[in-house]
Amino acid sequence: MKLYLQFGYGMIAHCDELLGGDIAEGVVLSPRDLTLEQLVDVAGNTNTANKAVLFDPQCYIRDADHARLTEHAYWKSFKKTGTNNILTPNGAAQIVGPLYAYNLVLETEAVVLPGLMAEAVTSDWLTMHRNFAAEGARLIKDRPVYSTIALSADATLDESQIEAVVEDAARWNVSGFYVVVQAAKYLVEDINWLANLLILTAGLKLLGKKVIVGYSNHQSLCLAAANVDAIASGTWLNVRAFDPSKFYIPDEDDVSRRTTWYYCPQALSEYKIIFLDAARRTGILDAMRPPAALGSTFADPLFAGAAPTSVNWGEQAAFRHYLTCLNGQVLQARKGSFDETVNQHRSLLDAAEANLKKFRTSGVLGGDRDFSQILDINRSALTMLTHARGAQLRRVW
Amino acid sequence: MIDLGELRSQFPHLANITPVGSGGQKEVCRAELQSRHVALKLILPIPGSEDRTLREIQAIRQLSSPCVPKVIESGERTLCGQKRHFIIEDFIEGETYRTILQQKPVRDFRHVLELAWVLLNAAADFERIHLVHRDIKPENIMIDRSGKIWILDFGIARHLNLPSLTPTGGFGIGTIGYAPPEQYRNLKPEIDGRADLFAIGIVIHESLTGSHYYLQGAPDMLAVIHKMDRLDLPRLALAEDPTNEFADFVASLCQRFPSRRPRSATEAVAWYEPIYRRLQSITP
Repeated sequence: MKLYLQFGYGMIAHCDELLGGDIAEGVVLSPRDLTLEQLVDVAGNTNTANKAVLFDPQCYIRDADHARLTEHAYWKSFKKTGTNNILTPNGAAQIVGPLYAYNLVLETEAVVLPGLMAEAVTSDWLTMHRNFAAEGARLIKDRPVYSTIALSADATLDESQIEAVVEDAARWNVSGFYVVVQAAKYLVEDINWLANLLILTAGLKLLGKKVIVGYSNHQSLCLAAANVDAIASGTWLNVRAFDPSKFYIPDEDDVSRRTTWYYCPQALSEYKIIFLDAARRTGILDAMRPPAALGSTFADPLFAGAAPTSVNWGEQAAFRHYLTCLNGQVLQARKGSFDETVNQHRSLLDAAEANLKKFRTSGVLGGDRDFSQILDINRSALTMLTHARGAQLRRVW
Repeated sequence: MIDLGELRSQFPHLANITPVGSGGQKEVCRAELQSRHVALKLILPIPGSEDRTLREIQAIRQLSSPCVPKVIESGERTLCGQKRHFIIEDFIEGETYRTILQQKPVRDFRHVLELAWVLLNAAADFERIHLVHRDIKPENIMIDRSGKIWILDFGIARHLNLPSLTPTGGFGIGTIGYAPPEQYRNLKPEIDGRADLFAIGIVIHESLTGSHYYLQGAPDMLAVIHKMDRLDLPRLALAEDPTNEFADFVASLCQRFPSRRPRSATEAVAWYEPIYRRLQSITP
């Protein structure tokens, strides 16, 4: 499995640094966060670094009003295409054409087609996607075309809607899927949500297509068991979990973003820096150091001897550390067989559980980014994946 | 009621015509055609079913499968003043698989391996001419005196390349307990060869466990449907299948959602063949 950098607010400098360090497969550009000029700059730099560029058109919500997003030319076409017309081949053509023009300028590796977020998977929603796919196949001959599959949390929780997507997507004339599912929380505590995401993506993979899951975080490492090709993740929480409300909100600042979190990959948890002070005092700080194999040196100052809170370790280093560690974990997640991959993730969860217990007894707590409550969610979801599609995944791995 | 005298006059080339039974849609006689044992099937003239009857005849005449009786002749005759469609095909002397299951509910693993192989290949034969049998069940499987397995009764088969004869939605046709959810829910766009794979999986599971998981203990058909809508079959656990590859395969055939089954009968055969060969070689 590979990692793409999911573009969000303030990502340009991180992108240069991380791609320059050969972290990640490429980027997923966000028109909500970048003007056309900025998109061209970032895409140019990414292509120069021999990394892949994908452009997420973010046509998730018809009445989105985020100023920067809605200023893009293809988005204006999307907006002005009538609701009835958007369900027709003609409507699809009015949107896909201008979007393809963006992709040509940005020299993307594949065209990600538009996809409305489904509150519920209906025949109209499926028809619209078939039309987008047909128009993509008709118009775009020089690069692969991926359908966007964007689902609300409610739709994701319904097994029959998930299977309706897989059933219909078998007939879409595309070479891959860009999957985005609304998450109720950053770390999702609903087994059905995660199990259905696994079952959905595994079903799409079994169609023989490429699958990239956007807006992901370390909980999504289990998607390797669905044979997913890549996940995309970023800096702020609103690019690590899909929250469609961001397409309404023009204000970039959010007070809750101001806390700096240290990601401890061996515990699959994040900690406020003050808790690293506690770890230092109770003698377990070294156990929280990231494994060298993951390749992050961004957190080295925290382990240099001084009290972590006394080190000027801020958001920039925290984000780069997170994405570097996540990239390392993503690269290790897929193994030579389905069963090995499932076992690898179970081992990761077991190791995290042991570390979390050790940290907790030493007064080191992760609050709402502690993975303790998530461990069993991931374990159970993997069992449900195995039950639903394990035999087929085992066969075609 | 069959008038044998009239039958003999309408089918003068058949000798020793003897009624052997009747089902919901047809009456069946045994006869001889040039020393060959044949079955004469007389389709009952049910109002509105003529198109379906013609479909069945068309389907089985197109079909070339070693486990489907060969059709020798078909056509129309007037009997008791009514036009009746008929089929003359090879007569299969044997017992239905239901009868065999009633005698010995848990079948030998080796026998079930073979049964699965034959049924899956038959489903692939059906698929090649875009046909879905839609009613594979022990009552429609016959084992002849030499042990050869046959599939009978294409009365509700559907030709996928022809327009449907019934509306989508409501309750579909088929046998509850063997028809998959998309069939009894009549979700026509989802009905294809995977419906037969589901039924085959159920027959295999029933053969190895000695009971029908969905039918057992259910007070009525609605209770069966309720169970089928919600629950997957319990996974097989067999000493003869130590790596669970057979259990995995059967579980995949019986998935409630068609998108979770093999995508076609041909794919199912390709999946099953190495399992079949391996287990056949090590099963006593």
